[in-house]
Amino acid sequence: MVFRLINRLCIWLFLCSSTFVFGQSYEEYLEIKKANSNADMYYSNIEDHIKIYYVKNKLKIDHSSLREDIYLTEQSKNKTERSVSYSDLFNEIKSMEAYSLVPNGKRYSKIKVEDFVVSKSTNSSVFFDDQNTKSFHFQGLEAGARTYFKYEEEIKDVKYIFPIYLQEFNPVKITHGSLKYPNNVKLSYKVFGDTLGLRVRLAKKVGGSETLLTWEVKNTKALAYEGSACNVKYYAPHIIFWIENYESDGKTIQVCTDIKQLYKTNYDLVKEVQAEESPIVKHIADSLVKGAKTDLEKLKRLYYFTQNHIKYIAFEDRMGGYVPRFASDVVTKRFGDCKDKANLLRAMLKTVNIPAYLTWIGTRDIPYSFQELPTNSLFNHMIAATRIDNQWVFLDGTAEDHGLDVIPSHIQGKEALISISADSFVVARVPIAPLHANFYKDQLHLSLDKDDVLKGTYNLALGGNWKTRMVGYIAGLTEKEKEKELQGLCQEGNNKSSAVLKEIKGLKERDTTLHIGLDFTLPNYIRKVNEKIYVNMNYVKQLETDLIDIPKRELDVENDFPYYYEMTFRLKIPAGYTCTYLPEASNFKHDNFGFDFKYKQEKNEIILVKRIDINYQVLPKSKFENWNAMIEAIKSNYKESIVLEPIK
Amino acid sequence: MTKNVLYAVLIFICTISFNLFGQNIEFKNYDWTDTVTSSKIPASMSKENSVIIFEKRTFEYCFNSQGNLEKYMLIHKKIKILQEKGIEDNNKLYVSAYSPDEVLNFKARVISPENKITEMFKGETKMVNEDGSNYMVLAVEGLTLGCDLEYYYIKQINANYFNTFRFQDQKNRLSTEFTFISPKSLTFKTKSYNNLPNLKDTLIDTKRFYTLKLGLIEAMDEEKYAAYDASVMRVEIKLSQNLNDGKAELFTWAGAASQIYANIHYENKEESKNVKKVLKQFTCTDNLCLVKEIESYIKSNFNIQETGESDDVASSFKRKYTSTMGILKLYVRFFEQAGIPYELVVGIDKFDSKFDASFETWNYLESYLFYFPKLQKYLSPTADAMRLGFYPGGLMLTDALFIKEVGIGDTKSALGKIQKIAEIPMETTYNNLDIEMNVDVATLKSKLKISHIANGFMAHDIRAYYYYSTEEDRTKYVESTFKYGVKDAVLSNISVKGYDLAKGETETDFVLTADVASSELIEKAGGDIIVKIGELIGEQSEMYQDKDRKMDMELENTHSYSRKIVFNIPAGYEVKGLETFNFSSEFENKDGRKSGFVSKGRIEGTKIIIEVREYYASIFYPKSLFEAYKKVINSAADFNKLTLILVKKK
Repeated sequence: MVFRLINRLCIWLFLCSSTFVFGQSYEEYLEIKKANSNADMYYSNIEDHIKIYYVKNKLKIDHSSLREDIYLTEQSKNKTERSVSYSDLFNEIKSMEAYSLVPNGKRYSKIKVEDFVVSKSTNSSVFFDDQNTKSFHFQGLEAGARTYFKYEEEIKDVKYIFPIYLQEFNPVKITHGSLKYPNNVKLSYKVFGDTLGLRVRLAKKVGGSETLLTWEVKNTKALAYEGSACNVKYYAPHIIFWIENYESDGKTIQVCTDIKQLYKTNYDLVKEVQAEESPIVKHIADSLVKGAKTDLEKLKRLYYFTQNHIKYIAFEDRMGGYVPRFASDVVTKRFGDCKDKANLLRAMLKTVNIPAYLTWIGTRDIPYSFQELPTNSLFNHMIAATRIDNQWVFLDGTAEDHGLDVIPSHIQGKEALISISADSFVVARVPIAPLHANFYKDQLHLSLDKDDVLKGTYNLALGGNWKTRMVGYIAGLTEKEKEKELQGLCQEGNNKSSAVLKEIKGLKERDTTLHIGLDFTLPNYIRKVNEKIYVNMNYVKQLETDLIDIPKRELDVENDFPYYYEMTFRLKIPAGYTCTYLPEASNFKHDNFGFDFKYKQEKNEIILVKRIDINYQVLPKSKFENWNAMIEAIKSNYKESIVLEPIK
Repeated sequence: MTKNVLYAVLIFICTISFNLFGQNIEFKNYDWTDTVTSSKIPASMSKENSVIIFEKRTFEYCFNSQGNLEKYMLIHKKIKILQEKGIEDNNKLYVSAYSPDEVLNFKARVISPENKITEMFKGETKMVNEDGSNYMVLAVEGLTLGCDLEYYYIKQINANYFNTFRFQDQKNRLSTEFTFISPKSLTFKTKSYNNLPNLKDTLIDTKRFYTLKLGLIEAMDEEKYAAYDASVMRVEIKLSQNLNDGKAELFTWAGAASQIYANIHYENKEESKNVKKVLKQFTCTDNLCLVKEIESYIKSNFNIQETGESDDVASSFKRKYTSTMGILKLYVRFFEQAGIPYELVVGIDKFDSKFDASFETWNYLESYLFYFPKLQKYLSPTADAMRLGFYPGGLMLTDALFIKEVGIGDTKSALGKIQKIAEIPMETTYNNLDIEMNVDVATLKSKLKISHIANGFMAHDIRAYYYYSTEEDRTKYVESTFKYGVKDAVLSNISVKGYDLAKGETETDFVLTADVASSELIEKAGGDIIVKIGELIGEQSEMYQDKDRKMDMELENTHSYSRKIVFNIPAGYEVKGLETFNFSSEFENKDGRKSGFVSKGRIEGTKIIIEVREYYASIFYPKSLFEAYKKVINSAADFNKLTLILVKKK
């Protein structure tokens, strides 16, 4: 009897847990939906708890994560899949629990997730990596459904505690959590990103043996997601934690104290590959520099070889994500990632007696400075550095087609950690290329044929980062494809135009301007009414649609690199015609941008010379008004046509 | 995915009836010769990124010791690398494989222009998962310009009974060898398409060889409005007979009909309580209304996700997502419990392959529709945005297998016949523009009232997108639509109609109306004013540079565009250049269907009225009509560049 009762109780409990009804209010969902009409999901709870503790003198880190979401639209129900990634080296998933609560009348039915699938990483840009993912699908999702997802993991490397984000790309009701650690662990943290308008509550409670850090922020709106913006790390508020040191066996173990300690840790990872003395590396370096008269010439040859003849393939296999492979290996296989290329270049330069150094750097995607953080969150890239005329010169092996004097835009302006020896390093800043180094010049020289079609030449001259961008774009194409691409480029002002490629100069040479010459035909462009001819000489209208929607735009505007654009349009006046209207000159000047338009007649030609300067890496919101004033002024210039009339 | 379900049952049926004996595969000990020299290519191809010098594909079926049918594949390829891009395209080799064990042998080598050989082996590969599929990948070492990359691998693959092989892509191939081998007891039928020569069929001892050797196969480039995949050289191969089991033809259309019918009715035949409960809530009495209600219910409550989980009706109800097969089962259960007569239609998108009724390969059974003979309407179970009466256009006017249930009481079976899927008329599908434009000559600004009116194929996706989007995304969509014709459009008084799927607005016009302010449409030249009227229709597709046409022109659906622009002439000005707006190009298909672009402008008092009609009444145009077709397409693009000139009255 007792047995039967227990049995029935079990069945009853079972029913409760699988299909039972929950008392959560459907009205709450309706209110949330109304208040968040721009979101298709609402996060009702984001909770992280981190615990640092000792097991037999070794430091361990456990993390538990809980996320509760509410689905607001029918569309959001497509987002059934969730996953967590893990790898042997960094973390191990200990448990996972997930269920959905599906509206059933005005209440909820619970559907537990039973199938968790383990698979290899899906990052196709990385060739070797040891990332695995554990994923699953929520079931029964529809508008109004709620999901619950909790997992626990062990963080295996005390150097890598993940950041806590206090704002998401969807609205959040509450983001909170805690970090508990023994008092003999020295732990630091810092808040980054834009916390303006957020009430972040951070608290620290020091107990007898443990310290408890807590954070909480409520009712955050969705983060802006806009084009031409800096990386999300610049504006999303987040906390980064790091362990400075801890006690073990009566000794203090240094983890991340300062840049010096960070350098020591990183140097250990590159020590072995730097020690390699390889005959094959020397052989290849020697054959490449054969006949080079100066060190500069040698440097260029080895740098350009590394850029273009070692193909980029990313590796993130275990410590392979941090340790370069041997130079001999990379040069034989002819592929590698940034650190492989940096080390190969360093090794080759060494064999020809040019000192070069491995250099850790964060690309412009990373906002932190060396003063702010002593952790590897500062870096996502490796290059090499050398000195010419007492100046640091930065060599990015992944920057295909860049000449020695053209720094890839993704590292311009960033701090670099240059490895000199086991205990010496230099911190230097990569320069930002000046405006005049990067240019894009168009020259159109056209005249009108008897069918009122404009015909002539279209010449392009590109320098600096504009050149490398174009070379990267067309270098690998066949002649047929190249012609098609360039044709497309010239069609920007009129899709009926056609271009025939005449010559390309400077495609292979790094230190010169790139010249592209085309024969150009432009039908259906001029307007002729009663013998009067109208020609708008602004063939391509740069920036025409670049007005910033100031009330809506939330983020600063990012620009790849400063540059200037120059166009010269020469139009031959047809025989028997004279120019009866020439628009006035116009210009605009601001610290970070400006333009200059000038029309003139020289003999039987009308000439428009226009120049636009864009001189910023980041355009802050405070300058949006000035920017728009310039765009409006450019647009009114673009409205102008010249008029040609028969001589009476 | 649905086809896999089909095969699972089939493999079982076939293997038990075959005579059991083991065989050795022909290429078991395949290898290349150790001495090899860098190859030469014709000078005319020296500017390509890479050229395929040699491609060998061999497939062999055999029975294993347990008597189960197995299939092996040998791929051997040699590529000449000519440009940097060729290195980038080839420095990773991908072999589709669930696990490394599937690949029995794998070797690659790079032969430098100086004849230095670097070899790579299976041990250097890595398994990766991309977009849900597993691959064995090799990072190729030592590629340089002018080198040859050569590789081969042998793999066990699914012993399927239907094969499609293509022989042409956008790369030149210098030589091709194709061999398809089966045990003597299994005969296959083959059919070549698009000028591919027929396969040679030879019986040698205990094996049948179907072979083809070809010299140069020229690259075929993509073209606009073309069915590329369906137009390249291709062979279809199907299992035809199992001689150990008589000479009857296997895998007929009739067989497919009963198989698919059986799969969909595989689970228990009991009435579904879930379905019954939903049907009870419906208010409809007639079948037309009921079908619409069922479709709307399934499309708004279930997603298609191929996760491999069970897809019976009860599971689908629980998860709210299910496989394609699961969706079909749901519809069928609804129709049957509601007593709605239906036929299941299975065919293939014409852009993939042309369904060939005379060749019974089940590879043509890819896409599903339902057909309601009494309503004379089709329903697409998988196209979420479409509703009864519409289906994906790639199926229009193609042959397909129509499966109908026959029988009385509990003894039901299926009958299949090949029929054409009926056309959806041109009148259903349009994207129209209605514009009134005023200009302020002092400020060079314009004010417009613009309506975009769409329906049919041109409205399904946007209607559904709009309905399901958040307010923010809706605003973005509206802005982008108006900015298509007016680049700097500033909108006010926006109204959007005809998208409320919940209220059954699936056939009403989807209409976007707004007041638009712009400064970009008006330019000046001294005292004269230029009005860029043509830009209002937005940038148009063009074929200005297209010359030698290789493929016929094909469209997903017939459709038309009607645009009416009313321009109010500002006081004190007169209009010049209106005559340039009068032009037309029209042409006829063989069946008399007309397509064209017609534009007319006229003055009525102080108004200029420009009316444009562009229409495509056929979904197929033979390439002999290319010039006429191109002229119509380009007419729209020419219109886009037209302007009116306003001159001060003297």
